[in-house]
Amino acid sequence: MDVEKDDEDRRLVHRHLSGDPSGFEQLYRRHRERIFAVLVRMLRNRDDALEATQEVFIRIHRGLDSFDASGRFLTWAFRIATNHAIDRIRRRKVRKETAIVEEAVAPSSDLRTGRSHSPEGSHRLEREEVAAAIHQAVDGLAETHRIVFTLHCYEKLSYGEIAAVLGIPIGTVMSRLYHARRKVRDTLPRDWDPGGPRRTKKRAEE
Amino acid sequence: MNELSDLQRFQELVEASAHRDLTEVETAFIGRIGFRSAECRQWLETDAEAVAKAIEADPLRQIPAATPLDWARVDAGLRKAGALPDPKSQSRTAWPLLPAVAALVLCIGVVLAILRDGLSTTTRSAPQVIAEVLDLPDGDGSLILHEGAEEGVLMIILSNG
Repeated sequence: MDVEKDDEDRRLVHRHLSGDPSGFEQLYRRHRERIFAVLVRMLRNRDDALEATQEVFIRIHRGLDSFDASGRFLTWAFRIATNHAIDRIRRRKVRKETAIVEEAVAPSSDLRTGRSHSPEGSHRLEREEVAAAIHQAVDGLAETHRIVFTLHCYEKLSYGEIAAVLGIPIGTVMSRLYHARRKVRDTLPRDWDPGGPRRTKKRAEE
Repeated sequence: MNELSDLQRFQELVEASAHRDLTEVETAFIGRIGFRSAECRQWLETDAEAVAKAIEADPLRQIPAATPLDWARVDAGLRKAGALPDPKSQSRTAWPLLPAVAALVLCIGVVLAILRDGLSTTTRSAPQVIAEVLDLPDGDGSLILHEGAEEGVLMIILSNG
């Protein structure tokens, strides 16, 4: 399935490079939602992310002739988006998440449909608490750790894919992800019981 | 080097990466052993399940989709930058096609008519009879009838003179 999507992406790139502007237009419409979502998570601000999405696709449009067709278009696009997000974060102090997070953390509204639902009291409190903890933890991550964490935990990219996107060694991806996960885990409520494996004795003693 | 010592070194290096930049060799060791050793991988992903479950409860896991208005703004920016085609210029370029097609059809019709009828065939206008009363001197009343205006004019002059 992914292979078919990748092949279609390559066909569209080729179409664009052959002078047909519909090639880029279709690439943009296929991937804009995903690029936008990545940027929202990295920049933690919806308006910034929307503006950045536009800038990223302009960069993609200008750089399509340098795309290596032996690779995945989406990996290449993620690299541009990630670099752009890092530029924006460094260029200015990113506005802290506002409306998007307030909306997102609201426990009684469905994010996509806006329909209300009423989870059981204890479950709702737990969900709110965990959501708040996650946001606090992700916000507190170093920029390089947050990006690796976002690409792995939300975008489900593998270690190798993240290494390709960021242009860093896999060992660096592993260590950054380890520290990011630990920090997030340490921020979760104490009674949060994921049923996951316990830390090693060495970690517990620290 | 046995598995246990690999694990120990792996743990030390990963922990140390929080405080200092690792060398290329150290980083390569983490990457290599992290894939090769199941024990190292398991230690590396100690918190993975807990974090994954917490993320399932995170509303940001699903970003609310951008609205059509949001995308319209992005589209406009991309058009301005020349990344997307401008629909107005598309419509402007589409219009000249209509007169071109009409002209082509007309030309084909003319050519077909020439091929069918030949260039020498002319259309003959219907016979006309025109009566004129000339302003002749008194006592010289005349009525002139003639047919056609351009060729083969037949004139009949009736005179009382």
